[in-house]
Amino acid sequence: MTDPERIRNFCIVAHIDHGKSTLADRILEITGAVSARKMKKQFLDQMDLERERGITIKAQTVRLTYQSEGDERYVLNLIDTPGHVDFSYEVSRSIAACEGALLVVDATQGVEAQTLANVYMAIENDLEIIPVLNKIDLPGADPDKVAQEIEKIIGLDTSGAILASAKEGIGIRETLEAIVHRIPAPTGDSEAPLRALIFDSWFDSYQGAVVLVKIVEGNLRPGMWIRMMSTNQVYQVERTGIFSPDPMYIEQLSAGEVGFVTASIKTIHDTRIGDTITERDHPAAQALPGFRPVKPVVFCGIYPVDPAQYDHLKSAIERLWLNDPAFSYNIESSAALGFGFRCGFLGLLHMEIVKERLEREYNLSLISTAPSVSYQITLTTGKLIQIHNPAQMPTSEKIGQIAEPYIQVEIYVPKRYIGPVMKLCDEKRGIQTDMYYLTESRVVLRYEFPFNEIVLDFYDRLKSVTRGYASIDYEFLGYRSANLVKLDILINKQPVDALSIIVHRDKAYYRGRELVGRLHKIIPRQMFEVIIQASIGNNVIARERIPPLRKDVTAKCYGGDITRKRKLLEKQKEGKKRMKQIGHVNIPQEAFLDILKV
Amino acid sequence: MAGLYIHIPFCKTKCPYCDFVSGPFPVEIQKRYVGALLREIETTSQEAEASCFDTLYIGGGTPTVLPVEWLVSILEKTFDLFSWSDIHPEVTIEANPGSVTERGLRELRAAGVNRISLGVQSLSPGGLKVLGRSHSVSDSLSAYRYAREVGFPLVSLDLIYGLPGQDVEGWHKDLEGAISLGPDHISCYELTVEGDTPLKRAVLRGEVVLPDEETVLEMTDLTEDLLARNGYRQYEISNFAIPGRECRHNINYWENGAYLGLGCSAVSFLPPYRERNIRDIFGYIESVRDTGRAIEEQEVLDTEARFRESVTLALRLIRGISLPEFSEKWRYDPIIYYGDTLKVLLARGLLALEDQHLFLTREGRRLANVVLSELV
Ligand SMILES: Nc1nc2c(ncn2[C@@H]2O[C@H](COP(=O)(O)OP(=O)(O)OP(=O)(O)O)[C@@H](O)[C@H]2O)c(=O)[nH]1
Ligand code: SF4
Ligand SMILES: [Mg+2]
Repeated sequence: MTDPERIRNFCIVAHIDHGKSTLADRILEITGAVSARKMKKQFLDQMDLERERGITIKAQTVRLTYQSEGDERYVLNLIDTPGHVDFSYEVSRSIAACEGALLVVDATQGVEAQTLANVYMAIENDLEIIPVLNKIDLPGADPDKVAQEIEKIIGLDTSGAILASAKEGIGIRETLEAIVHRIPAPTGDSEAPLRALIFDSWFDSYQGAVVLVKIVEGNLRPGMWIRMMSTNQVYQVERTGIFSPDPMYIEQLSAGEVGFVTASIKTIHDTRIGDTITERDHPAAQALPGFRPVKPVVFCGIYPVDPAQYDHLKSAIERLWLNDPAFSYNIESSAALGFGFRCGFLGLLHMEIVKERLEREYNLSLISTAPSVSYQITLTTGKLIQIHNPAQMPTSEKIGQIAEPYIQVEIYVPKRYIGPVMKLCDEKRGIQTDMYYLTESRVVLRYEFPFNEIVLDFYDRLKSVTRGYASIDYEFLGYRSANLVKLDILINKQPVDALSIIVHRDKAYYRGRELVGRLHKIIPRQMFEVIIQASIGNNVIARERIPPLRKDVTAKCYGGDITRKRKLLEKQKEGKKRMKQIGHVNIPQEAFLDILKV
Repeated sequence: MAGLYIHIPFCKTKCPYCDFVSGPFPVEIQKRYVGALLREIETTSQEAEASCFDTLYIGGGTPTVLPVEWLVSILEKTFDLFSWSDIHPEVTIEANPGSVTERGLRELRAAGVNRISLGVQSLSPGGLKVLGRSHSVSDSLSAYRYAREVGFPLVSLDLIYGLPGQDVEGWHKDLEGAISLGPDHISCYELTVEGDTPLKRAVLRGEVVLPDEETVLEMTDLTEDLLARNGYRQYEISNFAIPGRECRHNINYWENGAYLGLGCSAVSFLPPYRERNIRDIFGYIESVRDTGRAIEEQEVLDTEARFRESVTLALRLIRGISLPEFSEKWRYDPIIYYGDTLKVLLARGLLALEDQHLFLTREGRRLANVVLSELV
C-alpha cells in the first residue's frame, strides 16, 4: 500500500492543441514509465483515430513513480485529457479523480475558450492549479503577456507559473517538483467503508466491464464483494490493477489511489460512470455526488448499411456507451433505412468520432443521417411534443407552432478578424448581444444563434475565416418559436424519410435547390432513370434527372489485363455494396450526411 | 489449349493515350533485352510447367521496331525449345505501319509467322494526328500491301474510334476504308482515357474533348452493323473476323485457358497460378540475368474464384457461356450459382439465355462492366 502522503493525483487540462499530450510524453520519459525504444509522439493517444487526427479524444490515466529532488519517492497519477469542446465531459470526469491540475497554456496563443471552460471546472472542484506556459521555444511565444492574461481573465496567481516547452523538454523537472510540492495529497480515510468513484469504463470480451475508479475512502481488493450503489448489483472483485502505462495487477487499491477493477460484469447497464462502488458487507452511508448528466445537442440516425447487422450494431452501441456515456441512443426505424438508432451527441466532432469508433472497433459499415437539432412542436390539439428527427414532424395542418433551440456562443478572436466573423454570424441568423476586449488585441463576441444554423459547418467556416485563431464556447438558451418547414426529398417519386430536413421557410427554396443539385452530383448514373425532387408538403420546389447509364464497357481485356480488370470489377461491385438501395436506386452513403452541407 | 506470349516493350515513339509498358529505348537496351528474353525462353522451356503450345503471339509495344534478325532468332529459339501441338501453329506478330518493310515482313513470314496484326488505328490523317501516331495513312496502305505480297494468310487491322473531334461519319469512313482492304480480321476499340497519360491530362484540362456518349454509342452500333453486313462476324466485344479466321490465341484468354508470358510485364496463367513478370525493363533484364526468371507477383486462385473469373471472361465472347460445358468443367451451374442476381440481369435484358448459352445482349455489351461486376 502506498502512503497517501506520497500520492499525487493530477490531470492536464488545456485548450485543444496547447500541448497536453506532448507534456505527458515528457513526464512519461523523465519518470521512466516508457522506455526510449517504445516512446512515440503523444504516447497516450492510443486510439488510431486519435493518432490520425492528432487530437486526444479519450482521457488516459497512467501511474508513475517519481524520485523528487529531495530524494523522496512519489506515486503520481497522471490523467491526460482532451481539449476539444465536444469532449469536455471527459475532462469533468477526470477532474473528479484528482487533487490538482496542470493548466497548459500555449504561450503563443494565450487563453482560449476551452482554457477557461476547463480551468473553471477545475476551480469549482477545488483543484490546486499549476499554470504551465508551454511552447516557449517558438519565436512567437510571449509568456509574460500570457501570464498577465491568465491573471486578468482567470484571476489565477501566476508567480509560480512554469515556463515550458514540452517539445524541447524544457521545464519538465520544475513541473514535476511543483506537482509534488504544491498539489495536496489525497485525504480519504483508508479505514472508512469503501467509496470508489467510477470515472471511466470499457468493455473487454474476456473480463467483462473494466471500470476505472478513484478510491475516495476505504480499499478494494480481489475477492471482495462489492455493490454498485445506484443499481444495487453485487459482484465479487476479480482483479485490481493500475496502468503504468501497461496494465499491471496489484493486490489492492486504497484510499487516494486510482486504478481499475474487474468483476465479471457482463451486463453492461450495471456499470455506470459516476456511480459509487461500496463494499457489500460494510456499505458506505452515502454515494459520492457523481457527475452532472450531460445533454446531447446534436442528433442523427445511425443505421447499418446491411439491415441484417442491426443486432450487431445494437450490442456495439451498448458497449461503446460504456466507454462514452456522453452520447445517447434510442431505437428508431426509417422506411428507407430500416432499423437503427437515433443518437444524440455533444457536438459534431463527437458525432463523427462515435460513428467512426463504431465502424472501426466493431467492424460495422454504417450510414448516418444528416445531423439535426431537436424541435419543440405545439400541436393544434395543444399538446407539446419534442422531435429529434425531421422524419417525425407531423403534417403541417396538425402543427400549431414550432420552436427551435437557441444557443449563446462566445467567440474568442484576435481583433483583426472581427469583420469576417461578424459577417459569418449574420449569415447564420446570429444576433449579437455583446462584445468586449479580453486584452488589447483579443475580443470576445457574444451571439445568439438558432442552433440549427451552426450545427454543421459553422465551426469549420469560423476556423477558415480566422485562420484557426478563433475559439468558441457555447451554452443553451432554450427554445424560441420560428417559421420552420419540413423539406422532403423524393427519389423516383418516393419520399426518402432519412433525407428530410427542417429548415427556415425563408431558406427552404434555396435549400431545396441546393440539395437536389448536390444529390444529382452524388448519386451515380444507374441502369434506370433517377428523378430527384425536393418538396414542401405537396409542392415540388426543385427537380433534377439522372439519365440512365447506357455505356460502361472495357474495350480491351487480354491476358495481361485480366487480373487488373477483375480487380476493377470487384471494386465496382464493392462500391455498389456500400451504397444503400432504395427502391431500384443505389444511393451512396455520403448522400445522407452531405445533405446539410450546402 | 495453351498460348505462348512474348512481350516486346519498344515503340518508335510513345503515344499519348497509351499506358502499356512500352516506349522508345536505345538500340543498346533493346539488345540487352532480347538477350534476356532468349535466356528466359531457355530457362522456362526447361521447366515442367511449359507444356505443349498451340499459339504464339509476339506483342508489345511494337515488336517490329526490333531488327528483323533478332525477331527471327527469338522465333527460332521459341520453336526449338518449346513443344508445339501442330507443325504450323498460329503465330501472330503485332506491327505498326511505320515500322515494317517488305523485306522484314518477308523474313518474318519465312520464319513461320502466319498472322499479322497491323496497328492502323485510323485511316484519316486527322485521326492519326490526334492519336499522336508516328505513321501516315499511306504507311498503313503499303504495310497492308506488303503483308499480302509476302503471303501472310491472316491479316488483322486494329482501329480506334471515339477520337477527339471524330463524328459518326468520320468513323464510318475509317471502317469503310478498312473493309475495302479486305483484311481477315478487324479489332475496333473505343478510345479509353487511361490512368496517367498525356491524353488524360489534356482531357482534364479541357484541351481535348471526346465525342459524347450518344455519339460513341452510335459509332459502336455502326461498327457492329457495318462489319456484319460485310461478312465480319463479331466474336468478342471488340473483335470481328471472317468466320473461321478468329484469333485463337486471344480466344484462349477469354476461355481462361493456360498461357505462358515471357518478357517484362508479361503475365502467365498456369492454373491455379497467375504470375506477372517485373514491369520495369531494367529490373527484368537484371533479374533474368541473375536467376533466369523475373516473376514479381503471383496470385493463386481457388476453384470458385477461377469459375467466377471464367464467367466474366467468357461473357466477353459473343457466343457467351455454354452452360453444359461450364457445369461440367467447374461443377458449378451458373444459373443456380448466381440465382437472383442473374434473374435480374436477364429480366433487365442485359443477358440472354438461348440454346443453353448465356450471353450478353447488345445492350448488355454496352454495359458489360455493370453486368460483369455483378458476377465477378
Ligand atoms: N513548438 C512546440 N510545439 C509543441 C509544444 N508542445 C506541443 N507542441 C505541438 O503542438 C501540437 C499539439 O500537441 P498535443 O500535445 O497533441 O496537444 P494537446 O493539447 O494534447 O491536444 P488535444 O489533446 O487534441 O487537445 C503538436 O503538433 C505538438 O508537437 C512545444 O512545447 N513547442
Ligand atoms: S505504339 Fe502501341 S504500345 Fe507503342 S506507345 Fe503507341 S499505343 Fe502504346
Ligand atoms: Mg492531447
